[in-house]
Amino acid sequence: MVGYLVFLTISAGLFAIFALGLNLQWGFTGLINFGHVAFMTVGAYTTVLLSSVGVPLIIAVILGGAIASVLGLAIGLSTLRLREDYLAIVTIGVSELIRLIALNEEWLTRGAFGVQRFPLPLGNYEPGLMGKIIIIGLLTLVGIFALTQLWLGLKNQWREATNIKGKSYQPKKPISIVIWGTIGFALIMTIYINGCIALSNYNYKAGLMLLVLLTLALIYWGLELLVKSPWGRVLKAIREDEEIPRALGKNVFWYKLQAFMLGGAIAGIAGAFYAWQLTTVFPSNFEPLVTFNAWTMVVLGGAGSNAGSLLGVIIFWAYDALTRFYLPRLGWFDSSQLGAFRIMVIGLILMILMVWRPQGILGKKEELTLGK
Amino acid sequence: MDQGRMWSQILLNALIAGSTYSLVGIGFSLIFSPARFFHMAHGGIITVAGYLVYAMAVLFKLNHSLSIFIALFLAAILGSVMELLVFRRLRQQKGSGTIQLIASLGILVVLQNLISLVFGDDVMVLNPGVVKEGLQIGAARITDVQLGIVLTNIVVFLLISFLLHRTKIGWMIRAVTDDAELAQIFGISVELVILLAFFIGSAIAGIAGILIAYDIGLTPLLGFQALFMGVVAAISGGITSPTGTMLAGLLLGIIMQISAWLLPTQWQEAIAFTILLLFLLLRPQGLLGKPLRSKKV
Repeated sequence: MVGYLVFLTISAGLFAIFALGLNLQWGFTGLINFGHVAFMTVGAYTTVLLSSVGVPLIIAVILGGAIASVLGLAIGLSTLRLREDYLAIVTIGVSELIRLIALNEEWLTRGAFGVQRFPLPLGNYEPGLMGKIIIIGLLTLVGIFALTQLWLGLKNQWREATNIKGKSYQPKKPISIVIWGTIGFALIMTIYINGCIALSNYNYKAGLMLLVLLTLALIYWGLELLVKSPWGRVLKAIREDEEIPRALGKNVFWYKLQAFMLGGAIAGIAGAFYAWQLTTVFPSNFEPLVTFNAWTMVVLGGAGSNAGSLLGVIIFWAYDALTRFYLPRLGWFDSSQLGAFRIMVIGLILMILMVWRPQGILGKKEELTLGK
Repeated sequence: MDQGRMWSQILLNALIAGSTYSLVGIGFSLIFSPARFFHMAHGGIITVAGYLVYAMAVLFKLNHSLSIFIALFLAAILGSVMELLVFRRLRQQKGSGTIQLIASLGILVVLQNLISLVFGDDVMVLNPGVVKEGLQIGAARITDVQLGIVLTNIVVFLLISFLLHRTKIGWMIRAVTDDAELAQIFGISVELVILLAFFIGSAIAGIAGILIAYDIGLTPLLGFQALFMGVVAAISGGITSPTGTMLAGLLLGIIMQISAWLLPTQWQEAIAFTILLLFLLLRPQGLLGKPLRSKKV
């Protein structure tokens, strides 16, 4: 049970990083990136290949993110000036192209055999008592950070719910905020306590979990600062109507490019963690389905809200774990049908969300790119 | 094989492949023109039509031409239902093209996985009986299905051109394509025009799907792959122009076949993509297109 929860935490954590990158591109800037997995692929392969020829891991990860953002630069330079839906088709193409390269350029990526036996972070680390206290301390820091963020978010929601200005606000019932808060608190505590148990019986996965959570917290914090800065406000303005920031003298193309590259770099870092979790990297790990899942997470949680993306990730992985566990017991489908059924339901959710609640759970309706 | 024979075969294959790209592209561009969003679920309709024929003709042993007819009709209905239930509602909520694009992607995923749920992921073969020798044209060979693809493409292209330029419906579609608001002011029902475009466009998608199914067989991913090539043809042809789409489709066919002969086959998709990128960089309005206004002023 502890092991499975650790696995879920790592998966959810790395997908949260991945989804935050997409949220910066789509949620804040309105760029349709249907090939987000391409950045992940580039990040994963760069990290793994560099570290297996002896480059230190931390440098390999940074280079992975850097090369992923260079890919973003190349895509952006060629397409960001055109209609927004052209970006969608180009990014689909790029992600397929990258996967083809991973599959066919065997001298570089070892093709379908996959890259095996590459260095893992904290792979041979065996903490003594002092080490254990330090890593559990780090986890506690992350936990406190998560709780404060939850508290601040709920306080905001509470203020909005009790302070209704005009008629455009849908009044929220304060009781639902209490319920959300309780669920969030319980979830953070579960992950924290489970993490502490895992770290005290240290193994590689537990260390990876700690690293994922630390990175996630850092990236989340950084993004929250960024999107609330003047830079982030320009991005939102571009999403709403790019003529207005242009009229105010902002270089819209350059801002879009920055958001696209930064989102790509974040996805590249997520790719490194993906590779470390898999411990063997195959081209088939980077199918377009990964992008689609990330889209579901971002849209479900609420585009344009970092906390929403995290919520989307949690719901997605809860769905994933539950259907993986309970659906086979019903005995309706065989295993390959089961996969198709689970993806079909996600597609259905995405479609229904777009019709009924395009702003997602935590998104703000008045902040959504609707009228154009 | 001697040089001349090989080249005539390559050109013939290019014509066949180009015709499928152009068929998919024409349907896609017919819907894009008035509706103004990338209709990804178009690919889903392609797949569904193929599997419908399979279900009726192979599983229920119906007559092939009857099954094809029913499948085409159902494909057109399916496209119209999507428009009525999803896209019309999104337009009424003033949902941007990107929102419709995401909803359309959701539908594509639903259809694709529904197919794989019902029929499985294995390749299904539709073509009845033994593999035929095929017709001899000059030094090259073509099967009757492939001949059907080439001829159907020409017929569909002529019909759509006629529809767009010589009938009232086509006049309305072109008016909405140019400026939906202005067309509305002149008393054209934009909603009806878009519905019609979905109906006709989805029927063309059905034709493409069925022909591809007879030619190379069925997989759940068939529609998505065909769609990608069709979109490349449509964009590089000038996305609202059927003539441009057809020309670009054929050109794409030629380039892909020649490159397939020069390069390892796994790079085919990459070549199509490179062509798309070149067009977007050098001539974003496509071969015969007018520059699109990205936004209403």
